[in-house]
Amino acid sequence: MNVDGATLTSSLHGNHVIVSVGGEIDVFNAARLIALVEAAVPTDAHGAVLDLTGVGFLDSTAIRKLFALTSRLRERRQHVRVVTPCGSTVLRTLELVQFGRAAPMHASLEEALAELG
Amino acid sequence: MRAHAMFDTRTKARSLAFLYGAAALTCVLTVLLPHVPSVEERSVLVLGAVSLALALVFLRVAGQVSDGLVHLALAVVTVMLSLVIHYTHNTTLYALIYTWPALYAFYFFSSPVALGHLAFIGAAYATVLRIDDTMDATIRLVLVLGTPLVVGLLISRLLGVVRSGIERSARQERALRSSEGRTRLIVDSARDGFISTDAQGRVLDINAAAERLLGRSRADVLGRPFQELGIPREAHAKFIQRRRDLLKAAREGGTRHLEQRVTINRPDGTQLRGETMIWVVERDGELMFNARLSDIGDRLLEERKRERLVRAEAARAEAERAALTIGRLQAVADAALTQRDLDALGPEILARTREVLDAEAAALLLVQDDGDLSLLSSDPVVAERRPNRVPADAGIAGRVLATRRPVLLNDPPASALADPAILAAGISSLLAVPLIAHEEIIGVIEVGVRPPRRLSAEDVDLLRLTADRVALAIEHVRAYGREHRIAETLQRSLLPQTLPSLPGVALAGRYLPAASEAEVGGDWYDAIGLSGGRVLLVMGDVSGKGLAAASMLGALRSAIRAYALEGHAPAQIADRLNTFVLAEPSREHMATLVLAVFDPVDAELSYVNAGHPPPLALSAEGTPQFLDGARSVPLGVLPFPGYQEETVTLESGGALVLYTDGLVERRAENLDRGLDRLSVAASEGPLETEALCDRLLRAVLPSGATNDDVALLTLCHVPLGSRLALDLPSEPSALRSLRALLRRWLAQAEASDVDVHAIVMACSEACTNAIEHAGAAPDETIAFEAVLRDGEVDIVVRDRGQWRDECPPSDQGRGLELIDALMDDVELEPTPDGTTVRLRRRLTESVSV
Repeated sequence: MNVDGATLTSSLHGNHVIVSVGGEIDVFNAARLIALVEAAVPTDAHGAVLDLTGVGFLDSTAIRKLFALTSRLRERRQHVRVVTPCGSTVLRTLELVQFGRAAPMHASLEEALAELG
Repeated sequence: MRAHAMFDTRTKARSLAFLYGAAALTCVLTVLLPHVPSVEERSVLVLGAVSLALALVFLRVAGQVSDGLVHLALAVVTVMLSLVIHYTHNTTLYALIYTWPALYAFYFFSSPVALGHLAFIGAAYATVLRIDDTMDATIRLVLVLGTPLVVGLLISRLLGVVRSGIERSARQERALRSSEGRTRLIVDSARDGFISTDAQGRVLDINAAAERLLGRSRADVLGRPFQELGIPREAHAKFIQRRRDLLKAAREGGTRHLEQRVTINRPDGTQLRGETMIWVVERDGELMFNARLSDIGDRLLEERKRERLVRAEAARAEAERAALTIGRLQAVADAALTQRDLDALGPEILARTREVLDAEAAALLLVQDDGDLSLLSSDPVVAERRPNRVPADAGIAGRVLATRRPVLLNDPPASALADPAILAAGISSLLAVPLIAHEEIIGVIEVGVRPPRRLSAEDVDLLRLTADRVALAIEHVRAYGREHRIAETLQRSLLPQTLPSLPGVALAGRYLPAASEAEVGGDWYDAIGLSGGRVLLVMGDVSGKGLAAASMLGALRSAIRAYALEGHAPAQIADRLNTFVLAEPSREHMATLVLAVFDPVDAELSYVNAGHPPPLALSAEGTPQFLDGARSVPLGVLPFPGYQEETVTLESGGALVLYTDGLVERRAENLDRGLDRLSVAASEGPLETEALCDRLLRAVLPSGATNDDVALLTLCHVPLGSRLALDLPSEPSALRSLRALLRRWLAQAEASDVDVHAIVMACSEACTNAIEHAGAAPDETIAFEAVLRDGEVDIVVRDRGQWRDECPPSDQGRGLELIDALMDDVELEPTPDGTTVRLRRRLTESVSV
């Protein structure tokens, strides 16, 4: 799915959802994209893995939306894990804002999936 | 004159026979009657018999005797009588019978000849006397000769008188007959018939022509009443009555002639249509009629033919006049075809109207919105300018407006005239007629003529016919003006007001409508900013002109925008447009089109060409190259054209030129020449968009005028230097391309990944703030500037808006926090015009990651 320059795909993994996002997320498409991500996680899923491997950029709006997303999912008792590969600019950005406090961050999708319980 | 010509030979011979008979009778009687015995009876009887025989002979040959024979016969008679005297021995009594031949001679011959015969008689008697020896011979001779001599001479004289009288009358009669003959000749050779009748109408004579006219011969008609000679039975009574009246009038000394037309039926069944002149003449106290009869059938035919000719001539002249008038009326209607606006139309119309009516002056007034009349034009034009406006109720024009009917005024007063120019022209007769279009009065047209001419009812009709056409012409020009304005407005609204401003992209456009055409054409261009900092360029040409083309153009433009913003690629857009054009009902439409999407981030240009001249790409060095790929058919010609796009790289510093055929096509010239001209002009000079446009127009259209519309769109891939400056549209969608641009620029500067991340992030946030919080109007731009200097990057973001207070500070704060964390220096400068944000970061030495 193409959302104003960003891409989104989702797949099921057991009772977790893997949502892969690509492209750049900024004030232009953040709201729409994150809403779609949220919609991609069914309420009966145990959790979601948000794979940001393909994301090239996140701005403050995107970060804000991500924080809000994790918080909403947590309210639904759904776990969230975020995948950001080492060295990616997104990782740097998320470290800057200490996103790790909102959701665990993993260096790869496999690592995240392994942690699902 | 020969005497014996008075009597014909027959008479003479018969008389001679009578003489001989008398002599024979004398002989017989002498013998039969008592007589003296001395008579020699036998001899006498023989003589008698001979005489009788001769008498019979002369009776027989009466017609054939010659004069000589008569003379001889007469001498023979004398001799025989002498013998009778001798044989009767009676020289006295019987001598009397010499009187007979003597008188015969004097009667039938001239005096000298008769005297000759008398002399012979004398000689014969004298001989007898001698033989018989008679006494008193001399006296007997004298008596016997003297008596016939005297009587004969008297007879001769009498006969001479008679003869000369006869001769004279014969002469007269001859003269008369010859003159009569001449007259007859004249009369007979006359073309007209001459008829002469007595007072009762019985024909006395007719000439040859009358015979022909009546169809009867002279012999048939003589003596018959004229009315029976072919006059129809029912006309008889009238004919007779008129004749009687004429006679009566003539007798009383009144008119003696009358003329009338007659119809005469000929015996062969044909009919004579004639004219007679009858006059009364008097001859010898008697009244008679002479009539001349002529056949006017020919004349009638001639007259009728002449009449027909005259009528035909008149009709032809009338028709020519009518054709001329119609031609002039048509010229009035045609005036609208030559003029495009009312100011030029007015004088044209009035000149032609004057021609139609042959008038000296004319004026045209039009009803304005407020009801007043405005003088559009007058002919001849008056030197001094006078007020154009005329109140709606003024003068003759006002009357026309009020009554909606023509008004004809002879010797109009000055107050009646809206235009004293007409009065100044010395007009004696003025006619004003309403101009009616769509059942409404739109104005008044006036014409005037000089004395001695007066305008008539015919002129009113003619001016009404003219007025119909004038009204039509005015409406036509007005409608045309409306349509032209609509089309012009429409077309102007279809071209982009401003071209999008995107980082790394400079755009410029030009549109020149064709000089000679009053109708708008089908060329247009467009530039649409797409997501991610891309731009869609459109260059198109719709077939046709005028409103139809303009409306198709508008539809295409909207469709392209819609499809483009949905994210379709150029080929897909073209396919959809093709379907759209094909589906247009009724009209045959076609459009050529170039669609090109340029992404300044990766310098990629994707384009599709639907039958349009090829775009021209220029490298940073100025090398021209026509982009000939992706050629296909124009829109609207094939149901499944299957457009495919081609992708090329337009490197930094390069340019792209899109144009319509008006820029490269010239009459009677190969298209390649135009293309060459274009590429040469494009490559000779800086690749800055505005300069490029100007240069191209100057080179290709030196005179500035075009036969065809010209549309031109240039794009420059702006290179990045140590200074990156651009106007950012105040739209979130522009941020992505800004970031891409920044990355490229920073890559050029060989900044490290960390630096790139930090700067890109900070700039994005700063610009986001500017966009979001400035509350700027959509067409406001954010001035962005990034300068690399001495290993430092200085960034300035200027917005012209006012920071909104409603924004939750936390949002703002998050961004600012980030910026603070990423940049070395951050400065915020709120100014009355807007806010300026300055950022600075020192580039770290790049470390291979």
